[in-house]
Amino acid sequence: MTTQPSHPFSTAEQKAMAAIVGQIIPASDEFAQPGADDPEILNDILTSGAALQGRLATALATLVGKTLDASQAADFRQSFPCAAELIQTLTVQCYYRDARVMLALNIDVRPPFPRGYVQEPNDFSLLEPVRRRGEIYRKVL
Amino acid sequence: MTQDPVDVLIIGAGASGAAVAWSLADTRMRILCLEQGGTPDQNTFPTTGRDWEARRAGDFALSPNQRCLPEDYPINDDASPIKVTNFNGVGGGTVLYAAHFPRLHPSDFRVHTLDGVADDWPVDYQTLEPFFAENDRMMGVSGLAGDPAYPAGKSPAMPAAPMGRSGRKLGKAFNACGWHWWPCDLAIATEDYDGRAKCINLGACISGCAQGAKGSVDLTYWPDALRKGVELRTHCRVREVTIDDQGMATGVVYFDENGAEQFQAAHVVVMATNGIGTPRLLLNSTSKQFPDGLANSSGLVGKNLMFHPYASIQGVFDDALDGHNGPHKSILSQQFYETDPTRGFVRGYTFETSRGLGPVATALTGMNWGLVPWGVGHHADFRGLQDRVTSLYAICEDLPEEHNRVTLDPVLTDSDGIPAPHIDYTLSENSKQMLAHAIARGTEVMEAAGAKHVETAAPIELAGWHLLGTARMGMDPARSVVNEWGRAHDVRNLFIVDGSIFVTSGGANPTSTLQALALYIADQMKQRLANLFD
Ligand SMILES: Cc1cc2nc3c(=O)[nH]c(=O)nc-3n(C[C@H](O)[C@H](O)[C@H](O)COP(=O)(O)OP(=O)(O)OC[C@H]3O[C@@H](n4cnc5c(N)ncnc54)[C@H](O)[C@@H]3O)c2cc1C
Ligand code: SF4
Repeated sequence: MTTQPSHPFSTAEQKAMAAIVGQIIPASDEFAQPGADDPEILNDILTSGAALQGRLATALATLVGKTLDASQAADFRQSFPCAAELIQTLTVQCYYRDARVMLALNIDVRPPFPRGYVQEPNDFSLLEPVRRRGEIYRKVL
Repeated sequence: MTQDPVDVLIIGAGASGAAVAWSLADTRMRILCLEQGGTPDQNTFPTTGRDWEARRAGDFALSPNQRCLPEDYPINDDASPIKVTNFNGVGGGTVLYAAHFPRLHPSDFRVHTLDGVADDWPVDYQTLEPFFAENDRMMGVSGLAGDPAYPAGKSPAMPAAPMGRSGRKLGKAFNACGWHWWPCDLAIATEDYDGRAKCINLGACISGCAQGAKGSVDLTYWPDALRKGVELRTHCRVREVTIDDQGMATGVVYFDENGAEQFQAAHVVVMATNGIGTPRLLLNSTSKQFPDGLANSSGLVGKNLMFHPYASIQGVFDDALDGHNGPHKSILSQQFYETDPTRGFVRGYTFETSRGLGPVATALTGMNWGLVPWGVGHHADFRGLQDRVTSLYAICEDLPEEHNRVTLDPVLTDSDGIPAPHIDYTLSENSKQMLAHAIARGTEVMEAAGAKHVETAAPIELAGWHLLGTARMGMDPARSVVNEWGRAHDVRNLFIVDGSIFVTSGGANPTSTLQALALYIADQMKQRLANLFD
């Protein structure tokens, strides 16, 4: 049994997307982080960007069958600024919620709610100079 | 279909509608509120998932044009450098607001007398003081008493929210400059308060507070108002207010949750649909007596739109600050609030801090600034920004100008076919000077704080969150739409209580003042019940 992909991107478009997102955020050995073309992250990008397929098709078509390098990625960005920005936003949104990426960046792998976060207590002694200068509002008769 | 008449029909369940409903409920009249959106469900708010930042660009986007949810109406704001943001549902804008809760200053109500610009308000700070206090109690305000930028007497019910590393850093920088600063008054529970759990620093207040710590009116006024017998009908969008031959409001035509047209009769109609929704509704309510829109004999309905132009000053630091952890707002400065003629503009502004960014916003902001590249350098440069950005926003007083206005768009309609609002807005010279001043002073603060890089912008485009002035109050029917207690000059049983009645904008976030004013109007109505229509 084959499962239907949860996005409308063709196989060629998926490869083109992998090529460009891998140039936006490549894998890093130094920081032990996957690239945005990692299969799980790519799948998130394609699924989350399903509604954008129509707007990205023309730009992605120019990448089909190419292995990109940094300068070709820069050309793409210049030739298709709107599509490049959409892909950039989508890539970043999906990349920075990947558990491996969050761990590498020392971000707790969880949603903010319900645990929340801790903040340090206030130190109001800093307000001494403000208090010393006194009232600053304009009096109205 | 016609429904049984109600005594009071309130349109809009946002900040002002909720306050008025709660206050008028004391009268035991039959009160009904019609709201075009639904009741928000905190369990589905963005911070319940790891995709919380992405949802800020989707179903929790600030602009209705971006969200495009069934309860939203489109707004043509192409002819404005500042775009409208709002929330259409029970709670109104307070569901998404940052809950910064400063009051306007006493001087704000006397701008003509003091500075020779715009008009004085027909009410003053002193008159509103008891209503400020009542509203603070209902909304649950945290803060620190003793702010020298205000008259004595403000005493927040709960301790101030944490300033955090970013607030401390900027506080010290304001000290170095010799300028005022103070912890923000916030409508955020820092202790368990009136059934609300305390803030746990989720840091996503403008995407809705999943914890329920933020004082949005669906959690503050509405539960009490409903207990007191007010009826709230959701998913009901009002198309127009109807009138009889005597020029008295008879009720409203609305579309119910199934899209069916209904008529609801009412003895009194109260509009609480905000500074864009109210002029839109009035302009859509035409009749023989009011061919140019209801209550518009002055021609001022929709005119004098004020937004508060915002400047942003963002600093990048070497040391780690708060990231998104903690309420957005921590401290403010009102050093430049009151007029000083040597500055080259009249009136002034508030600086408020905006704490920091989550990882997605960090990367996108860094890319936007050219500090985080595509390619191999991405990871190291991202780390250079992670938790290292904090911001100052300047909220500049916007003076009323008739050419800044809301009209009806000739083409655009909402899903019920009701003509949509069209915004025409330009920045005044005074605003431009003020924004430039704020950017220069804000940059000084950031540098004094040790920022290694400062980015500025003005006006911030997606910052049309304060919607004011489009049905202003005043004593003179030729120069205002409602009188000194919120009743339309032209229609004796029509009241307006939302941000559209502001005469001037002040230089601070408006909701505290807006709700105090709504409570004041409700109080006036209660005191005059026997002769409300005289
Ligand atoms: C992102 C954001 C951040 C903000 N931050 C702050 C802050 O920190 N401090 C501050 O003071 N203010 C802030 N504000 C502004 C604050 O939310 C508003 O000042 C306040 O909500 C306005 O109150 P209102 O009663 O005038 O209108 P709203 O609260 O906007 O309520 C209007 C209601 O009317 C309903 N409505 C409109 N038209 C119709 C119709 N035809 N039929 C039926 N219902 C209708 C709408 O759905 C809405 O629920 C912020 C706003 C936003 C969007
Ligand atoms: S910071 Fe506090 S008020 Fe803001 S969303 Fe989190 S818990 Fe709610």
